[in-house]
Amino acid sequence: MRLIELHVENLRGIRSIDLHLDGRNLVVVGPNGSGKSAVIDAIEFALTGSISRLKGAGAGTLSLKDHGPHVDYRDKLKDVVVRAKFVLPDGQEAAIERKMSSPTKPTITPTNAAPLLMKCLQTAATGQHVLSRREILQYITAEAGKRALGIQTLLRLEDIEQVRRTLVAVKNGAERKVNQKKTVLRNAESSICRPLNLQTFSEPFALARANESRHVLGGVDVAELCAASLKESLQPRAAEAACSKVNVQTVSTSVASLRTKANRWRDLVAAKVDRLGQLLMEVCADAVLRMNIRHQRLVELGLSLLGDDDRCPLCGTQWDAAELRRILEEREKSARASSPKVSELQKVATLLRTEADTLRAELRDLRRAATDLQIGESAATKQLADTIDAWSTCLDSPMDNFGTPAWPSRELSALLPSDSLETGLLGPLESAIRPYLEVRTPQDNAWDTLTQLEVLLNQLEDARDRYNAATVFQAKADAVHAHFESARDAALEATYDAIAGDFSDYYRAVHANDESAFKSKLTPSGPALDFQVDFYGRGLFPPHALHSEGHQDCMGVCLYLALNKYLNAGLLDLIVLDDVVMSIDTGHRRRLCGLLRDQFHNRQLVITTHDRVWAKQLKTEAIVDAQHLVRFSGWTVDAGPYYESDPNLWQSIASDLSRDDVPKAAWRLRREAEGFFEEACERLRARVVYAGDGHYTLGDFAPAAASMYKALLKKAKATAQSWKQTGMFDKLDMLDKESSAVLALCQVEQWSVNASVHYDRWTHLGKQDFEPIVNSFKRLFELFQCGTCHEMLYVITPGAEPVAVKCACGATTWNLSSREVG
Amino acid sequence: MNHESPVNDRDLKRAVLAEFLSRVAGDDRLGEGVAEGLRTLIAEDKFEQAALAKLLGDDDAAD
Repeated sequence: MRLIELHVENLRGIRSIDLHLDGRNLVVVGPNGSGKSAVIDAIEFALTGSISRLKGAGAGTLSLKDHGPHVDYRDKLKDVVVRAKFVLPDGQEAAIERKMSSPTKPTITPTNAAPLLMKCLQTAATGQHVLSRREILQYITAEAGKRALGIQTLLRLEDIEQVRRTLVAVKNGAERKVNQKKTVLRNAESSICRPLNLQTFSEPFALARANESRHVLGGVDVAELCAASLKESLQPRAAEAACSKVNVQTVSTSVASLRTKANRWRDLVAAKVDRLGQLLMEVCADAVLRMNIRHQRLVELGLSLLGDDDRCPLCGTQWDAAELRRILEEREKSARASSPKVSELQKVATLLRTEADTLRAELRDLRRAATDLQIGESAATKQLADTIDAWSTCLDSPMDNFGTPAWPSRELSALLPSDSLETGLLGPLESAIRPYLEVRTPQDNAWDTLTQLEVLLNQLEDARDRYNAATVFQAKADAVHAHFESARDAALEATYDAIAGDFSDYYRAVHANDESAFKSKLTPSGPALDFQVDFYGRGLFPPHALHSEGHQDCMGVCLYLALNKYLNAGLLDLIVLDDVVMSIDTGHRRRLCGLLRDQFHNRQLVITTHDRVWAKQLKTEAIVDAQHLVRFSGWTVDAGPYYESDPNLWQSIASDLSRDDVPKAAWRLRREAEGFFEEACERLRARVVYAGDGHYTLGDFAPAAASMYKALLKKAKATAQSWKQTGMFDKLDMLDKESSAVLALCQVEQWSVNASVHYDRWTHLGKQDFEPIVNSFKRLFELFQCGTCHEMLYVITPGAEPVAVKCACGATTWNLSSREVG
Repeated sequence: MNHESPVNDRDLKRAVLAEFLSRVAGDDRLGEGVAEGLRTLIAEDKFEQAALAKLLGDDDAAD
């Protein structure tokens, strides 16, 4: 797709502009602040409905609606319009019009071109067609992660990334599932320990205990611990338990266990309770420590919230999940290390809480058994249970609870051992189960143990099956994820190698004189993209490590061009280079012209620059023809850029005057004349009074051009006379008289002495007064152009003195070399 | 420098997925049906977490 025409109204610094590109390359040259980048903004707005410099990092509070319109049109968004006409890849022409009032709803004509045009616009939406100084930084000096993001956005890898994210989510889900199933499995194993009276689960020990019970019942050993064979070949007992309400054996064991734990608790409290109180007082009084704790908690919370989407749970920034986890764990570790007092406090509290939890669980089971055995609960037992609950809860977050009403009023040391525990719970329980224990035989107990074990083994086997299934699922998820990443890396590496190869070729073409052996490497490194370049054969380094700024800019342009080659997809031929060679010297720019001409002749280039020399090089190197080299010579807030390029200038002015719109006609004439006479000054080598700020207006160019024109004409006449070329002399004499008359009408030479004829007053004239000025300027323009080819005349100056004035076709030739006499 | 061989984004994604399926098909650990199932999910544009988890043997994955 190529751009044919661009019409812009009231966008950024532009009031009204028409550019006729005809699908050819376009160069816009002008000083800083003359509106060049607004042309780029307009192209971008036409293609995407957005202006990238008004969004993203660094844009701050800028917005398209508030800062996209010309400053005087912020409240007239319907009048902010960009119309662009394109030739599509199938050869059809199509136009798109966007208004700032509804930038995402373009009008496309003809409507049957919409599907293909929209496809092209989707390609444009990646922004791959524009290179500005900002993008150069993105490619060259950015750190690897950001560079990867920028390049991957250009390569439109988001679909591939989406597949990877799905696989990562499944992989992480599988990992979580394995952990969950593992916990269930461990709990099932622990449950088996109690009836078998084991401290920790061990299958051989558990099997041995099961076989002990089988021996009691006259059975033989079974070879494996398995629910189905646990009671194999044993005679079922008629009454499995004399007490139908509780397993008396288990209650008996638990009573003994609680007594032991209560004693252990007493010792622990005696050793730690004072230290706990002291640490709590100190930590809670220290504001810095409290802040450290909050920070540590934030990091811990962040770790717990790390999800599948590789994003920071707090700010949403995208990360490599493993890298983010590593950083958070590092910070957590560092936060812990920075406050040993807090660490000690947490250690003591955790120790007490773990013990309190165990005590609480045993107490809960025995209180339930007491209820089942219809033993009335004493108030002291209930108070004991409630206090342990309260302590356990408070010790979970001691710093949050200390000093609050939630903090238990009863001292820890006053809790246990307590006579009330013995008299209120343990004693009555033992009394209640003693009769059952006395009448039970060892066979009864063995059968009960096996029955209980049978149930628990069923749960364990189920948990084991689920855990094994989860590990198989995890192994598959890991393998599929690894296959995808390796496939992606292989494909991307091939692409990156090709891009790096083209980049090196392009860079070598520009730097043939000083870096003819240049090479580079783009290497994916996790989610980042390392970029290294050769430095004069001394090894590979980051591009901004050793090369000069000019070299870096050149690398940016070359890398962009290499990427662009892979990105256009045959849809968008446009390449926009927005003032990107400022640090590249003249010699390398010339070679860059050669690269663009040789390698990118099938692309449409739109190049802006403030550098006239570069613009001239682009013209002499045939990147752009004279017709498509647009000069912006200045800018005002009311009129926008002054430029020369309207091929239908006189018709446009006539149209304005037919509507009595003198200000618009005056603005057009002034804008066109400014560019016209600037070029005339350059072509005729006219002397313009130097302006330190580089800001020139029509008042600087027109008198200088007119004066030089008259001087050259005078010299041409003298030359014709010296060669006795009467016919030529007469022709030049007529032209001289005509030019004097036209200049008198235009009053160009009067501008500096007579304010009432100055072009600044044109807008205040009536139509009748302005029409003669228009006609005079039309004749004035014609004086500077060849009557045959209509190209502007230029002076030939091989040495210090001009030797001829010519035109492009040769029909106009003024000899300036007089015949030497004698 | 051959300028007439653009590799566009669609080619890149297609290349990655083709290579991915080829690697999966050659992995005996994954068992029968996984490669074909992945191919179908991709072809039918149903490459989603739940469907993928189910294909890989997550018993709890939603249908």
